[in-house]
Amino acid sequence: MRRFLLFFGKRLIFVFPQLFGIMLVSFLLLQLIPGDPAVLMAGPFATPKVLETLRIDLGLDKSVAEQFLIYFKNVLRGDLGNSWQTTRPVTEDLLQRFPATLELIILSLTLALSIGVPLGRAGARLKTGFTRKVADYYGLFAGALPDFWLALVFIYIFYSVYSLVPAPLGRLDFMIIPPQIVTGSLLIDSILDLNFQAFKNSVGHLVLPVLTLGLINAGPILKMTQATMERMLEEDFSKYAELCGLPDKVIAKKAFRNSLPSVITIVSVLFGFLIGGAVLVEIVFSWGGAGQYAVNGVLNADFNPVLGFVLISALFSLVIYLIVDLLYFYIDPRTH
Amino acid sequence: MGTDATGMDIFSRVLFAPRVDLAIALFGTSLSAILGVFLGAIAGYYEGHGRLLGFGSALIMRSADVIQAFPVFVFAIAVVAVIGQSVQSLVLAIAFVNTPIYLRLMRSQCLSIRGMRYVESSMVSGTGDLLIIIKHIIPNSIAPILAQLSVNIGWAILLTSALSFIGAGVEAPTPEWGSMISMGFQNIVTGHWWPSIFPGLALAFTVLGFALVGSSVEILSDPIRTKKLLMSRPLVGKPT
Repeated sequence: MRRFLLFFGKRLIFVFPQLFGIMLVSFLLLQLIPGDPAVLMAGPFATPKVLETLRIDLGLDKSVAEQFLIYFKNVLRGDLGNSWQTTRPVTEDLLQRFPATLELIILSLTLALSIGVPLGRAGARLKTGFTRKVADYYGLFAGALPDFWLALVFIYIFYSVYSLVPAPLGRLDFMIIPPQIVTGSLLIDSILDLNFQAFKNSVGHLVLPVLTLGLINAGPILKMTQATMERMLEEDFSKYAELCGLPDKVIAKKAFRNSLPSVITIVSVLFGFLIGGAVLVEIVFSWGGAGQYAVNGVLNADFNPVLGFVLISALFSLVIYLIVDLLYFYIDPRTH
Repeated sequence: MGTDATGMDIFSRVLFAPRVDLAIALFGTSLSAILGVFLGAIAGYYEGHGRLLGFGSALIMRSADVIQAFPVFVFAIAVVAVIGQSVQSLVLAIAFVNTPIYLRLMRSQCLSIRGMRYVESSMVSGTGDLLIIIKHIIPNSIAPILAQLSVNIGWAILLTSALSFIGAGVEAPTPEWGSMISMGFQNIVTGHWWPSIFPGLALAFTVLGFALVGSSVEILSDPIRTKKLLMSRPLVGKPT
């Protein structure tokens, strides 16, 4: 246990300089974006005097270094500034939108894992045959499909033609009373609120985006599982087990246990990627997630949401990597 | 294949789109490969050196870390936003996002080749650093780079069309798969599937093609696997 704490502490020290670096670079990068927020805020007919006072209000008259210092101090207090598009504090906006994205990503990755891992395992064990073919082709096709297109195909089939799911607009129908917000995840909140109508409806809204992201992200998980598992089955310990006459099932189980670290790695990479990468599917389903918020920010020279988004998603990625390192520590006895 | 909402012919636009898509993807990935190979070779060759060169190598790697810490898609949009929306800025955005991938690949190749006997003997006999990099290190590490290049062109096409889909890429009258899909996006709910489905299919098959080329290059660059492949019935695109 002491070793574990030591390991954890050492890992934690690196998180802070990393976060600071990300903050600095994203701040500088966004300084380069042309477009004057004051002009965009006040509209095209504003007088120069109004613009001037607005600039002073926003702190745009100060030097870049000063601006960064102010920003840094505010972030430490949990204040990410205001978005001029929604005229609300970015922290509030993100707190509302991140759970939507996270709910989507977590469910999608669960689906992707439940497709990718068994198929990859089966593909690695078999050299020929139908399942092997399915695994090989699936890995290739899943990586080639654009997710926003697949989402449209699903909408066409399941909504336009068969009307099996509610309209692909947001997370809940307009007529449904939303549950009390506790965690931000509609599924959990509606159960806590015993609002089963909302639960049913939000499940209906989740099905298609989760299916889209799950099917596509199962590809990399499958490839990784299959490749590592194949390597493990060629290792000496597998050959030894085979020579000892252990049944195939047991050998496969051992080999899978040893390929777990790379499966965990690919899941963490996908998670980090999806926080920003799910934005296309979010747009198609008008999900109102965090990625969509950031993209609108970039397109409209609204800097604070973008900075806030980058910072929080970086924070999430770093936390995920931290958890992954702890998991490695747990499953790999050599690190003890 | 019919026409879209504005009456433009979908078939001819789907056929014309690769001129834009492929050009952007090819230029973008080639640029990033050249940059990445160059920087990666330097970072790998001088890693662990004292003073300025070692510092330069560390600096290159840490900058790559920072670039990769950003969400790829938001970063690409930001790059396009910084330099203005045009074909050239898409090329630059793709080059920027992909460079760290080649950089890392080249560096790890370089680190393993640097320790080889022929490189060491070359160093001992007084060959200049630059000549060693050009003569020995780059030619010997080119195979995985080429395999990566092919896969990456596929990704770059996906990224270009994704950027165009949200309106930060190629603009409307120019035929481009992503923007075509987005033009059909509003009408798919009412059952008009053809303006979106066909460009998406073209996109998917193009990316698939590049992925297949990539996995073949990888197999062919490994003599043992090439032999295995020639002996047995070829397994189509064995993913690795």
